[in-house]
Amino acid sequence: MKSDTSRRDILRWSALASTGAVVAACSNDAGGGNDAGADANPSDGGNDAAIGLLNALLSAEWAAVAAYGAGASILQAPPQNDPLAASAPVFLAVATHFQAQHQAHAGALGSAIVQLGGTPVDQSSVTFTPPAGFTASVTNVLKLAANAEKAASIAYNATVPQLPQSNELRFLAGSILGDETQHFVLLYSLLKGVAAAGPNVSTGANQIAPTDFVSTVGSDMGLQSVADFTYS
Amino acid sequence: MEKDDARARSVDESPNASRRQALSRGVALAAGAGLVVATLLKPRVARADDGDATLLNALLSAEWAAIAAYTAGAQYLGAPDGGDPMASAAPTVLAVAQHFAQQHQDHATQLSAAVTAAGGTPVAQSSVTFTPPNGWTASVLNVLKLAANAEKAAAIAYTDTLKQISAAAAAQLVASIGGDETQHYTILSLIILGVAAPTADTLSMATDVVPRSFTASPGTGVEGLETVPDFTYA
Repeated sequence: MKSDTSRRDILRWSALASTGAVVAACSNDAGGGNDAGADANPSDGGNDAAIGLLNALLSAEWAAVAAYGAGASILQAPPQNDPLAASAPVFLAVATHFQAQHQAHAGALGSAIVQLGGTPVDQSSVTFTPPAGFTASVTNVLKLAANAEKAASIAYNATVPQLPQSNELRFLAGSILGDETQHFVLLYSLLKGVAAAGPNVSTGANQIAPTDFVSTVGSDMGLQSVADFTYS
Repeated sequence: MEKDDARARSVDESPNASRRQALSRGVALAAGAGLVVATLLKPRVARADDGDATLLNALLSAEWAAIAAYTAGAQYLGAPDGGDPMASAAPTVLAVAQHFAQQHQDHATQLSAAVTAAGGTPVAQSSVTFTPPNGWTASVLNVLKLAANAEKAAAIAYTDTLKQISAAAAAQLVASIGGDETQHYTILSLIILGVAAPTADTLSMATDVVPRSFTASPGTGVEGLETVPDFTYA
């Protein structure tokens, strides 16, 4: 870890941890106070509310992309005394895979915003604040990612009922939500010790959350494209 | 492994009887899982004019089928054949399967309430019937594969239902359950693929494998991932 670079990386990582809170706060504002349990259709508020909600999610995705990038730099050169240093290459492959999926989410959200007549928030607009107590280590990278993926899952879920039924926006949010939960459960299970790396982990990073979306979004295939297991 | 083998043999030492038991269990389990997949196709082919109650009832049927399938699978996992190469893992897989079945029960409870709120009548659990999938034989690995295939189909079906569901509260519930199905699928598929593996703690901590039945709380008294504490940094 080189000092300046490391510090910047940690700062960037913190964005991932704050992602959920950002989305939740923005969605509550942009949603016009529509209660998650209400049955009213938010489409009455026009496209502006939906654009605001989607841009909040897009900001979070940009933060996730940046944070995974920063995490990757830690995983590429973990502290020498890090007890998980030997596992860093595997986690790097997983982090890189997850980052690409967040990039795909950002692309889909940006397209949806444009279709509604809005302007997607720019990737460069994301700012970062380090979480308290975070130090660079492989375990802390995993913890930060797990916390952030959990927060993102909850935030997407909170956003779904605030989106209008039309234009398949709820579908888009749900399809991304299910990808975030896949990221979360793997990270969580590893950290809790209820799952460990298997014999094929070194070549299997892309099989963890194998598609960018749960169900096909545009030309980006969902889990429909993953073949069922056959019985032996 | 030896302990599990001995337990399996103690059920019935007769080769023919053992074979019959396996076939019987296999048909029951396969039948359940087959229905899961079949039922979960319904939301994807639902008509545009289907109301929320219809959509939610299709999902409820799938949940009842999932419970039946996991229950049938549990019967085999509780006494796997001695020659099953994964027999020693059966107790751990059983604990996880029972945990997932309970989560499907939680989903069914919430969906039933949502169907009623939408003006419909919840489909009865007893209405589920079974059809075995082709090529299925009883083994721990095939139980995992059946469950993974069904959970994947469920995840897609829940997500696709969001295209049609009208009520905001129902949409949130559907999304919240869909996020749980994807977690089930992830764990099951990664174990099958050998990307992840159970640990010595999985059996005693099975409820931590997928810690909540819902991504976010769908209502008062029902917990989502909000109640799972963040990891702290050391």
